[in-house]
Amino acid sequence: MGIDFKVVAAIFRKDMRTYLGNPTGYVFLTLFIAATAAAAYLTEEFFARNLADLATLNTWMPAVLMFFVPAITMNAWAEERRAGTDELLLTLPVRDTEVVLGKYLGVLGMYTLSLGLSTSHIVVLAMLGDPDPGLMFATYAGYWLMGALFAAVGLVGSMFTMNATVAFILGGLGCAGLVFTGPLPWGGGTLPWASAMLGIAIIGLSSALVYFAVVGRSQGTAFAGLAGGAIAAVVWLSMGRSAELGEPNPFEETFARLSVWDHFDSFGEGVLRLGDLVYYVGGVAALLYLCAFLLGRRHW
Amino acid sequence: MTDDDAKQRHDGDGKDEPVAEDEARDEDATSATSADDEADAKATDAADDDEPEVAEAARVEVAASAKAKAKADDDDAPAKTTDRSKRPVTISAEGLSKFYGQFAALSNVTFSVRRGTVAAFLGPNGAGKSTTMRILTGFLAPTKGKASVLGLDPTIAEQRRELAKKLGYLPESGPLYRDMTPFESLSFFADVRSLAKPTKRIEAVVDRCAIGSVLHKPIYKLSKGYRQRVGMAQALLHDPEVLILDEPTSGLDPLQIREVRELIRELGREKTLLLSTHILQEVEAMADEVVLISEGKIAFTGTKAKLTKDATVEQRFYELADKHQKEVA
Repeated sequence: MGIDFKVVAAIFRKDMRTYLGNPTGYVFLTLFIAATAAAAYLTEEFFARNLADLATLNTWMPAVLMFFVPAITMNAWAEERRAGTDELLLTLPVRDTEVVLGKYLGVLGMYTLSLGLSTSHIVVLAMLGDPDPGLMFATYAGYWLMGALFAAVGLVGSMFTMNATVAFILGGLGCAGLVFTGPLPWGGGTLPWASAMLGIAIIGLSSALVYFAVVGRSQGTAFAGLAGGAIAAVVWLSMGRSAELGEPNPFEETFARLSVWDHFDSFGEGVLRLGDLVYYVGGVAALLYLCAFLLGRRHW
Repeated sequence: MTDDDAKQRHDGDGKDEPVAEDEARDEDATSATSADDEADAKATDAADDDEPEVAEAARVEVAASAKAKAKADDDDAPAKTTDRSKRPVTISAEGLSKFYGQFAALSNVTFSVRRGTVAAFLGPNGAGKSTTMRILTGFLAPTKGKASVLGLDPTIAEQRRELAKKLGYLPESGPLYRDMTPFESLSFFADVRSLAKPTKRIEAVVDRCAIGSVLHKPIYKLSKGYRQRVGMAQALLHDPEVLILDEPTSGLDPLQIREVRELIRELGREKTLLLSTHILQEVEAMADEVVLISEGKIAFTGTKAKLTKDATVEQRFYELADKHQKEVA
């Protein structure tokens, strides 16, 4: 089973044209640049530090992307379903993987364009001081990878519904799971329960998928998911007792490792680690696989 | 639509129909009825047989005789209908059922359509016409039963893909990418289908569906009639062998309806068409065969002549639908 890249390219071009074919696309681009600029410069810290880098933006970027990327992805599937065009698209001579890849590249293209235009921040830094090119490259590579992961999360969220608003919320919640498991940008430390929630969601979703794969029908899938999530919650709470003795909860610790922060900090310091690359690329691959799986089971 | 509306529409539309031609077709079909039944029985026997080779042999035989007959057709047009029963089956549904939870949208739907036939899929709204078409095109999977188009199984991914190359599909209410122009839209479909001569094909369908004047206007600005025609152009773009059209005339004005009917009759000479409708008039105007469906169950299948032997399509429709509803209750 191969992939016909002509088909992928055709779907990519169609989606890019949709994003840029109406004013919303340009409003989005403008807002994105404005929001990142505000996060970078509209803070005393930027001037107090007196360093030509984007450290101030780094603390906010996951939170900014958490809203902006699902705004791109929310229409990816939801709009096709609402308009009924999925019925055209999926009855063409295309493979599910080609459709998923085309859709993903469309979203990624739009995000890459936004991020590319936001390199204006580097120009500003260059006017104020002398930013390190290597550090700037690593920082932007980190932004791009983080956005690429969020785009895959958003795409899965959009898969579940035909309502764009619901798709946005689902995508945002998914991204929030990866963001709130780390230090909050507005201070106040971490939210250990957020990583527990992420863990419960992942276990619940996995058990639903495993149930469906084994049993082969959709009846009871939601129940299996809820049951998996409930068991995970019990495990988490029972482990919580040891936390009273001053030990960290192992359940929370495990899923806190999935936090996007753990895999972004080093980029902000100009270091590219293989482990981080594996995290992003692996995450995207797993989520796109999930998309293709859900698409293949569209007869749910 | 209420029954009265349907009746009015039926009566009103009937006036501008080419009556003579229809009658001629009906006569042909009537003479073919007995032959039809015989061949059907033969095909069923072959299909029931445990040994696939035998079934295959029967099919080859049928195909060969169809070929020979098709040749004869060229000089002898009226023989066409008689011959139809011997042509190979292109669309077949065997015991299709689709459940949504406890609700059965389709139950045990079986019918087949042979090559070069225009089959009308007739039934009230919500009878399961679109669901069946979605199953045949591979957009939905049946809960039970087997669908087959051109010998390909639409539930198997790679076979569905092969099928999609030879199948034109107009989904219900003609969904389209609203932000695109018809030209962009057709270019996209040509791209995805990797057509050998995209420009030539696009020109051909634009001409055939008469959308030249709106080619570069965004689709959301077009009237319902034009949109439906863009959808039709999309379905014809790759010159498919089989066409599945879900309510191809919905939203069109009487003139456009006449154009579409002419187009469908023309296409029906060489291609296999399955078109759904709840307008009885359409059946009289276009169909060779009728599949009548009510509440997810087949109420009648056979030639139009068989359906209209001793009553109009309309009377038969109400009669069968009522009988069926009583049975269900």
